[in-house]
Amino acid sequence: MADDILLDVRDLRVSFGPVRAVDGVSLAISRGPFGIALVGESGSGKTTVGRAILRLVPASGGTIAFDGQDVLGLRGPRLRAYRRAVQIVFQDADNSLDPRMRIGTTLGEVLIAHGLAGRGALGGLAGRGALGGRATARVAAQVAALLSEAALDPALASRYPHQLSGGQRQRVAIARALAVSPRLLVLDEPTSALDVTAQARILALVRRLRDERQLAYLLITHNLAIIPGLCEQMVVLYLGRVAESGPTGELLARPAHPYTLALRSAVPEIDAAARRSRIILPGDTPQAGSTPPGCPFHPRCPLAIDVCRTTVPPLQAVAPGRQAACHRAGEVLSGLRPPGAPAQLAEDPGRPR
Amino acid sequence: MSQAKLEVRDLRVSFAGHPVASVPELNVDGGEIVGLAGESGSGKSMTILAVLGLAGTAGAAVTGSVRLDGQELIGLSAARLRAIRGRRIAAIFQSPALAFNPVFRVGAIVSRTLRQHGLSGAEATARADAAMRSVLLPPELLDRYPAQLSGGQLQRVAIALALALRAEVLLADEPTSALDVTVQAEVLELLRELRDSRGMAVLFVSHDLAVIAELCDRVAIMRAGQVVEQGPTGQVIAAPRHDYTRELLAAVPRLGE
Amino acid sequence: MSRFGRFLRANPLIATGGVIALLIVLIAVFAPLVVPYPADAGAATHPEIALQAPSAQHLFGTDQVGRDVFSRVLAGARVSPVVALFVLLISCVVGISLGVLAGYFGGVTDEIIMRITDIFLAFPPLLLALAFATVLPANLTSLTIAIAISWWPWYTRLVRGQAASVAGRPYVEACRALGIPSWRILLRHVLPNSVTPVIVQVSLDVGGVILTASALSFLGLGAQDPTPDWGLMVAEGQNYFTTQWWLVTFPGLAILITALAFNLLGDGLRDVLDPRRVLVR
Repeated sequence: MADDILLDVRDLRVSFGPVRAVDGVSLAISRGPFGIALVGESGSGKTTVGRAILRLVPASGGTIAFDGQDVLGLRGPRLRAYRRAVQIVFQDADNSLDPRMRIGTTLGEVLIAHGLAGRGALGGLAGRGALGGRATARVAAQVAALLSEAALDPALASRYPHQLSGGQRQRVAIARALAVSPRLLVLDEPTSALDVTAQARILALVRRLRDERQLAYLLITHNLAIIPGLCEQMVVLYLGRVAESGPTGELLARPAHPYTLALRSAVPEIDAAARRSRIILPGDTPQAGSTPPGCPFHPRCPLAIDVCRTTVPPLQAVAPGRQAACHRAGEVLSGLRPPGAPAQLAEDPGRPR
Repeated sequence: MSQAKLEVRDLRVSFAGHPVASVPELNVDGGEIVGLAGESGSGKSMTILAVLGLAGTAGAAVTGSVRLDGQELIGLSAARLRAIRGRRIAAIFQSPALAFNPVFRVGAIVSRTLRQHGLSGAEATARADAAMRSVLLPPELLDRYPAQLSGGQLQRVAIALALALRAEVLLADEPTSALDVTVQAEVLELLRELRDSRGMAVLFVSHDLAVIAELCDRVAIMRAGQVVEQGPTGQVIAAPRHDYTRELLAAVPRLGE
Repeated sequence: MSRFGRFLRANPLIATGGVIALLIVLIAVFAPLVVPYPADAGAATHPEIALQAPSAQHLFGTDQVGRDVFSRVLAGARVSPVVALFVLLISCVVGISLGVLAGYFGGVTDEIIMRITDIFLAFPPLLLALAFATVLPANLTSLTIAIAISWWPWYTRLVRGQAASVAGRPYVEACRALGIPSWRILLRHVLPNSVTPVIVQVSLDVGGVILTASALSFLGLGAQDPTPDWGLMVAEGQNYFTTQWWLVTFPGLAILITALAFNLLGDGLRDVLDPRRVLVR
């Protein structure tokens, strides 16, 4: 079983000054084809986990191992090699491409920087001009192939980012991430900024890439609806900690954590038949770092009891392959639901000064 | 046939001759939520601005008719529009933080707006406090600065302001798109409350069809500035007549699988 | 050619600025062949015709030692603008490099570079240039170096802020995530995106440098008489301003027009360099 694990995150901690954005998160990503979703709202730390995996922010604790090798201590050429194996697609499609560079140049740059453009292609300073004719043609051919794979017209290589639609830009970002042939792709809210039709196309693309490239991916999102069909496993985060984790289908059908219950009930559904009664959580999603004593969710939890206010619930197995951090996880799993009372006057003090 | 609270007829908004939104007919009655659904560039936001009489400031030309309780709004003088805007037609937008000047306390902005529409200081305070309670926020939050409130709280304050003004119509342009899903659920619940207990007429613009499906009684689907289909929500979703509607519905991810 | 023509019509700023700048360059290049009295641009003096008002033979009149002002103004195009060019070139190279390094790397690098920059900025620019000019022999080269030394810190500060902002942008972070080496990121992403404020500032500074050069020349630390430096001519002619206005006015106009031309060019260039702009194709 351990051989199956591609990325092993154990007890990851990331702090920004006094703020503990990630406070002990563990997850395991198997070799491709495999999809795992990291779900949470603002303040959950999900984006930070993704960044920490990519070594874009320093971790303050815990370990990350890729193929059995430690990741957090990598430097120099080994770090660059890691960055070929693990890639990320950012949420902000509008700004993740240099507005002054043509699409083809942006993609070509990645190929050249990693020496992937075949023999004879030097790290040309001026881009196309400095390369030999043959090398330029090779790069161009590879760029065209990448664009096609991302379901884009290769002619777009000569355009600037602002001339493309949001969905197209995001697909270019995906193509760029694929340029290095990664084994693990981190997708940070890849469709949040897109229209629903563009979103559908991106999700279909990810599904296709998963099969064609045997890709493993970590899908970071707050939108539960896009997870089934893409990810076998999911992890729910709240205030930097894991609330629960397990196989997607089971977790969504029978949650073991009150937060998952509320999250699931809050998702708007088009099919009237699929709608569940809303669990309205009082107050707002707390800011990272404002962790109360005891269970981080207890101030908003409709099922909180005394022990929740004092003791942090440990992440424990509640069923085969499923873990939850809740004192009443067993009850929730068995069907305990909050009473249908309307939300009381919110006490949440909002952001501290 | 009694007239609807808000009646839009042959509304056309264009920039330098290019049409960006064209709505032949749209009614919003008191006590109902009508949805305007579409993707970016569909013209739905421009429609809201045109109803508010603010499209002109964006540089657009507006023709057609928008009637509030029978009174024509298009072509009204700026002064008269100002009296109506806020007081009878309120609006909330996607980014609540942009609606509040960061150097003023939230309460100051609210009370100033109320006083501008004719209330005395004492009345303004009383109404503001009552409105805050209606949106399930403690009135003390009015003493905070916008930066000290979360997105969800600010959006609820914006709704509270609409309530305090006793607005009859609420225009909402993607009010929950920037909010977390659990907070969104709260705000949507609030809008339902406004419809049911206050009889407000709500025009709700969103690109999220699932939200529209849950919230709106009737819906108009827009694409590239045109209304392609409209009708009761349940009907449009169960039996879409236009290809684009079908395409949109097919693209919406569903959790309940 | 018509594409270029359309481009010029759609961008009147660049057109105007560019045309005037081109004119100045042409004058600078061809001055010795074009001026009516080449010797007057040099050491010749004709005291007998001193201080004559503008006339057919002397379009801009003559100065206090009888030299043709028109010739000297035209010849001056080889002096002041060239000094400005080199000053700005040196300042840009030094200032931008340091600014980009400070902005992108932050931390200790930033601290060291910016503290050095702050030291230079603490001195009033003219005073600093003065101090260096006094130490160096009085000629145009020293003048150029002295002014450049006092000029580069402004660009460093300007670029550093911009570079720091660019360094935090998603596309730069994406490059880091993609394993693209720092030098590449600096050269191809940070630099091009940080340079725009400098372009505008440089165009505004053309006039400023010329004036600074003239002040130093006036004090005898830069261009020496008989070099037809515009600033020097203004300085020398100021005593005659109320009566023989042409001594100051024409060189002054030359400075004005040169500064204006580059100003327009800079404004236009900044607009053109923004790829988001809808260009007339």
